[in-house]
Amino acid sequence: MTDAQVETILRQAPQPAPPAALRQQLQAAIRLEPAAPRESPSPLLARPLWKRWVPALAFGLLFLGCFIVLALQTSQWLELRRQHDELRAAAATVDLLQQENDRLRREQIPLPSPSTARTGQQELQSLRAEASQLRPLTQQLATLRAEQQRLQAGAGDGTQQTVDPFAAQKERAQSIACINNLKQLGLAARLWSNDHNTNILPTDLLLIRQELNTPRVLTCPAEAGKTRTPSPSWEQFDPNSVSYELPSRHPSEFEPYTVYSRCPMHGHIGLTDGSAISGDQKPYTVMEDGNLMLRRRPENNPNP
Amino acid sequence: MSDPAIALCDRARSGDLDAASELVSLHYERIFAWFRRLCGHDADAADLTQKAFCKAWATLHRYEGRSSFSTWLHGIGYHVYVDWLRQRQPATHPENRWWLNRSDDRPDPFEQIADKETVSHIYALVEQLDPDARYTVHLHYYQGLSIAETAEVLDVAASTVKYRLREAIAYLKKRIEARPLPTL
Repeated sequence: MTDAQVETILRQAPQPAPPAALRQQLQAAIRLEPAAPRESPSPLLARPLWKRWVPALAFGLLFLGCFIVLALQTSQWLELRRQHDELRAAAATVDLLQQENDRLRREQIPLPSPSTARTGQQELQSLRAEASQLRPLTQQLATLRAEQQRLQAGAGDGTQQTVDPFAAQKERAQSIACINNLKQLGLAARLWSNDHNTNILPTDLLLIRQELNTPRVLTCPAEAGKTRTPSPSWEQFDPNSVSYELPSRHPSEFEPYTVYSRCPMHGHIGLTDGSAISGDQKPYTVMEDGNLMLRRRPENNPNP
Repeated sequence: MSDPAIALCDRARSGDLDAASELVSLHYERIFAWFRRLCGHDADAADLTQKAFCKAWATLHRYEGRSSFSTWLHGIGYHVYVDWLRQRQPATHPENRWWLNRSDDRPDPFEQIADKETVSHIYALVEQLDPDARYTVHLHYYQGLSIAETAEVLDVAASTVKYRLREAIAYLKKRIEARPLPTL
């Protein structure tokens, strides 16, 4: 028997007959499910698009928000770190600046200590007292010299007196040197006041020793070697060698007619502007508020 | 797929009982015959047929029309039969001579091809095949499903169906040839 024959036999197999009532039973047992609307999509697809994507969008927005917050905090942290580094660097330089400041302070001209200033003040007071005592003697000396000159000029008969032919020139030179001293004194005082950012000139000559090259300028040439001995150096300074007076109590650069220094021998005066006026001009001075001021001579008082 | 079946399915899904009754009328005989050949009892076959149709109505909304309604119904019936087989006691099957219960008027193969005993023997040998081959022969030859439809019902590949059919035919031929000639 061939395969085809076998298949034919199988295909033509008889079909068992169903029971007579089976059809009615099957039709009676029909239970159809409620029809689901095929037109409507699934509940998930029926929702609006934006509602379907809300969970994903919400998560995305949350992630984005976290990322933004993290970025802001990171930028703030970096800024704080930069400021911290700058402050640390600045703090490191503060110590250096402090050291430099201390070094500069040490290198500055040391101001006299209170004890030194007190001692100098006492010496100044003693000098002023001595000067007030010597001032009348100086006037007597000037009178005696004038008398001597008169006598020398009038004595021509029989008296063999030694007359210095160059005395007048010497006195003239000494007077000019004295004026120069007063100028140097005024300029030194102004230098000191500029360095110390003040307009008040110092009334203590020791304060301007740095500005004066030598203390010899403090001795009037007319007294040098006679009644006073000029100090050779500041280390060997002798207060008794000072010839000049500082009559004003608060000499100011802003008051150029304030008398800063005065020579009791010649009458020369030095002003706060650094200039000097010869005593031959008979400058008229008055005391105002503790300061000796150069003023115009009043008309009713032509004489000094 | 036949157009009337699609229309009837759509009407049945909409709740049309007449359409559902029509579908029962079109397919219940074939389904019953299939179950009758498999299980061997009219009562069991009727019960299985009723279960299959009940399940079909319950899952009619899942029928998408990708295959014919007959194929889809056979698929449901196959699973109903397998579940029924599992729940049965593992007793020996009674002798199943379903080929003796004929209802159709087709030409008698006994008369055309071979003698009656040979044909009966062939049908009996088919029942002795292993279950997979037996189901394949029933669906393809007895129920008239195509290779693809048989594969879809059994959820196997078409090549598997072909292999099983080839092996079954070879087995049947071999057994028939080895069968002693009937004594006169």
